[in-house]
Amino acid sequence: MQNSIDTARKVVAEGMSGLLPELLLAALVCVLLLADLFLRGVKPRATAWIAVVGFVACGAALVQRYGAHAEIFGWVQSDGPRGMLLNDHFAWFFQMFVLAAALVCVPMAMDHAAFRSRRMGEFYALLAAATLGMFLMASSTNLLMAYLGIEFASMASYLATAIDKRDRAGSEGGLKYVIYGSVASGVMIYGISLLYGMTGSMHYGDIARALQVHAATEGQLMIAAVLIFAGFAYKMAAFPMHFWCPDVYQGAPTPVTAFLSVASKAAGFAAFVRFLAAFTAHDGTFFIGFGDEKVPASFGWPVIIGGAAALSMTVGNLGALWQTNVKRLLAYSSIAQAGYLLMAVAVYAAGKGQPSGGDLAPLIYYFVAYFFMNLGAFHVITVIGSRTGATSVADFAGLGRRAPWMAFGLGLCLLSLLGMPPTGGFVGKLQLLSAAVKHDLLWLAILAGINTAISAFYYFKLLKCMYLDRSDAGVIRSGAANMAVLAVLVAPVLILGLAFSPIADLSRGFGF
Amino acid sequence: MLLTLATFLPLLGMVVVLLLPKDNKNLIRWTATAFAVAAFIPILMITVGYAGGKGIPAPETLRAEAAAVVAAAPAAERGRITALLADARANTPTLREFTPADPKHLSDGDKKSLAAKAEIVALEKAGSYDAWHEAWELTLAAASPISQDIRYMEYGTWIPALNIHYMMGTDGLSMPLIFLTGLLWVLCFVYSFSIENGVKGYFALFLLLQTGLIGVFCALDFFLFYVFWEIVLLPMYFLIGYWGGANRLYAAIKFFIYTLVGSVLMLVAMLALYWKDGFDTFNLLTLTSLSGSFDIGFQTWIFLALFMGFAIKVPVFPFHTWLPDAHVQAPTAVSVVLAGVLLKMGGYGFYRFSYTLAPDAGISEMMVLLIGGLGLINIVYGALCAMAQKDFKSLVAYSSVSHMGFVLLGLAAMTTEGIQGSVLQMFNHGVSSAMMFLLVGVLYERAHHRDLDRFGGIGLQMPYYTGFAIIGFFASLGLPGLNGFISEMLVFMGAFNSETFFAGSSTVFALPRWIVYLALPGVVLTAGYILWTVQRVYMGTAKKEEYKTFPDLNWREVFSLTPLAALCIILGVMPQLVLDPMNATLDHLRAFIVAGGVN
Repeated sequence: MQNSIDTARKVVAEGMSGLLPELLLAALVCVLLLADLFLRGVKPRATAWIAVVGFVACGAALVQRYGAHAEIFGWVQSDGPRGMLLNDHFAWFFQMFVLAAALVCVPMAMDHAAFRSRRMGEFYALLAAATLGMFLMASSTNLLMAYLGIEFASMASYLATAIDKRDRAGSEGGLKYVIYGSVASGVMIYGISLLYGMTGSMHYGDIARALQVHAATEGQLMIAAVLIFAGFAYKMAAFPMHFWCPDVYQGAPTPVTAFLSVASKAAGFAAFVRFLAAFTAHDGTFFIGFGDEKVPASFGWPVIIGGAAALSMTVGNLGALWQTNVKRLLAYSSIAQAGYLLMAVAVYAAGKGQPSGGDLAPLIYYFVAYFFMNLGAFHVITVIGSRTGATSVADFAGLGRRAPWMAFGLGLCLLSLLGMPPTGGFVGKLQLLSAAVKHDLLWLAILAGINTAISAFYYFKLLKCMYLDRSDAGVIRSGAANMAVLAVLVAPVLILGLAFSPIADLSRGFGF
Repeated sequence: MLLTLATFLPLLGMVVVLLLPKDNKNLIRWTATAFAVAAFIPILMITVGYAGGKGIPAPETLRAEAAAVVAAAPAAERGRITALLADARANTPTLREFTPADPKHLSDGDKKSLAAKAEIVALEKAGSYDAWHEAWELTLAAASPISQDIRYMEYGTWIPALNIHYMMGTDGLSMPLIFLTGLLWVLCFVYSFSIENGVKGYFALFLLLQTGLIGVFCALDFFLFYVFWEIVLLPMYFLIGYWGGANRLYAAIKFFIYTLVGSVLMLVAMLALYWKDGFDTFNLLTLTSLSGSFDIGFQTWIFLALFMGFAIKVPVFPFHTWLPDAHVQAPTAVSVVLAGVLLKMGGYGFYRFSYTLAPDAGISEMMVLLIGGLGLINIVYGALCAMAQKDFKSLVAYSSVSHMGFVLLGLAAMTTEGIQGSVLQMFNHGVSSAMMFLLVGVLYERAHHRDLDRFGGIGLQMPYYTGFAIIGFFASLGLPGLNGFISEMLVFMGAFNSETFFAGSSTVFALPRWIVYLALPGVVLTAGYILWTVQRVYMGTAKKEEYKTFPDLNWREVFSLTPLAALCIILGVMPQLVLDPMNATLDHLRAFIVAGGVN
């Protein structure tokens, strides 16, 4: 008895020491909520500084954790640890990614009308909470933990979407978000229960081990896999769980949309790739059914994920064609982007079944590029929107003259999202296509190519408005701070397209 | 250095132009023109130098680079690398994956391969794999049959992570097109002084376009080529979309989407080549020297994917519909460069990429009939469409479709004359169509309409202008003594001769003679629409009083038209000025393709 208590104490102590960034985030949530009580209406902007300090401190702790490889919050068995979270390079990248996105959203929110005075502190608290949930998603190594991380991040996201309760679009978006989220969670938890029934565990390592020894038939496994994938797809805003995305992105305040479209998506991918890797943890093959036949461990994954990728990009791009609202257009664009990113995951799954192994570098690289180009686009839309009330594509007419640098930044980000050289989006897409061609997913590569051409229609709709449509409206002053943020977000888009060798090398270090 | 200067001076010019004050229009115009002239100087030096046999041949440059790479490797590995390089073609990096089915029944070749594989794996362990790979690439590139004619090569590492190199060079195929680009830009800038609206953006985009085009014609790394290829799209979109006619937005996006569809397919083909058998290279010359060993199925789809990219640009029927729209809406100078050099990107791509990377597919029955047949359709259908046009510019646009058909016909014939005529036709069409679009522009600036039926009697009012017009139009018609005649003649000779030339050849499918017979009426149709146009516009009496007030050419227009008219006449009499520098290149290229890529 005493022994097991000691063990438990040891586990908690070890876990805590490895969890400093997460603990800092949790503390930040509490501090922000308290500070908001005192500063609301008096000095609302002070909460922004608290948030910045908190995020930077968390970032410093995260930098300290770089290079760690520890499975925490669990127990140790003879054949390895059974933890809840695994801090490794992969998790580190996505946690840094989410944190950086949160940090960028702080100045964006300062500039946005929805948060003036009253709601700013609340929003930052929710932002920190969502970040914490995404941290857990990125490092989860247990289905239950992944599920809880998703729920935690979602709760904060629901509230952030509907934060301005007088704004009908935001409230509607929030409600839709909740309803779709509940459905996705239900579906996912059902899939988890099936898999638990087959393998007797929710820990990824145990699932992998169980699959080695005749745990399930291919059909059973397929059903569980699809259901669980649906849950993750909801966070990625990918087909078939993309329906919430346009309404929520349109309704939510733009900084929230920016955060969701970048951080939430990344966390969804991170959690899913971790789960996927569990299927393929060992020598690349496992037994399915009760015979002696070994099958590639990737089993149906390339088909499931590749199909979802194909449908995501097609649905996203076709849906975007007719949009007139900028945020809705970018929502569909982000569904399509999820499709391109899923292509990398499908390639990873296909690669796992081959001797060369799976490669996550294209996914990582595309996410780096996506971070800058998508946040850059949303930054400009926030700045222009808060100054002119622009919401529709037509409102951006003549922006090339009215705010040349903002227009240039947005234009570059759009070209990057489209995948034109010399931008980061092109190099990212090149690597995605390249990986797909390498792993014989040629059909997917060609489909992605055709989709790129389709997407040119709507990205150019916005570009055309900015540069070719004339408008008599006056010059827009964006402010030095906003220009600085723009430069920080847009310069890397070009660097990632012209001198990307070091980053491409780095991106290879964040796989498993 | 010269090629880099020629490529990036315009880019520098763009930056400078963007920094100039917006309201000082003349300063912007002269600065932009100065940069176009500055870029033309290295181009002229290369042109003259290349024709005079100067410039370091590419194999020398490449071998020196390979030696440098080997020398930079650790001393312990150098011997191993050198030994492997002795038979670079046999020891491709793909051997890393080589596993014989049954070790007992190894052939001698397999044994050698296994030994090579062991060596490569050992190099990989020693951390010298990249050095070996680059040396291997360069050695093969130097041995490539098409590299012997490339000179003025520049080579440097750009993105080591993906093995992308900055590799530029020019040979008899690209040199005339680079010259044409340099020349047209100077002429177009002087002509464009009449642009009053958005001067800064106009010249900046135009300069960016030049960087893209010269880059396309110089790049010998597939990735680099692709980047330049895409860079061309953007300024073109904005130039048509902002300074174009009434329906400009539709035309601009149509141009963009059409080309983009082609280029993404090209991108997939490029990646397939990169991963093919573990080559991991975008080096065009390396890939060319390996392409003979690709199986025909792979070659066929590579050929088709590249074909889509280039055919849309040429444009080949049925992908030509963007061209009349773009031309009619584009401002004059943009039309000039569009017809003058942008269309050549497609023709150039066929020669540089399609046929060198998939030589067997190129000479197969399916492709010969496809290319030859589409060439035939382009010639005849383009001419018929041109005849039906009421809009002057649209007529010239369709005449481009028709003339580019000759490029395809000569290419499909695969005979010496056919290829020479086809490449010469690209250059000649660049001169004469550029001239025709300038001529239409001159008239449009005065009349503000382009309706063929409402003109008449311009000859009496503007004699100098009409003189230039006669030269331009008759060059396009193919009148003996002017440049168009030579290339069309060569194409027909070559195409007609294909069946005789390849009689008994088991590998090359000869262009059937019936295609040539069917294409011949195209010449008559061309004469028809051109003569009819000359008659309607320049002959007779003025149909409107205002035509009698039109001033003749001003100095800018004379400046733009004179060099082109001179080229029409000079190349009609002395075509060897262009043919001689490119003969060796085209002969080697042709021999390489006909032999199915084996050299």
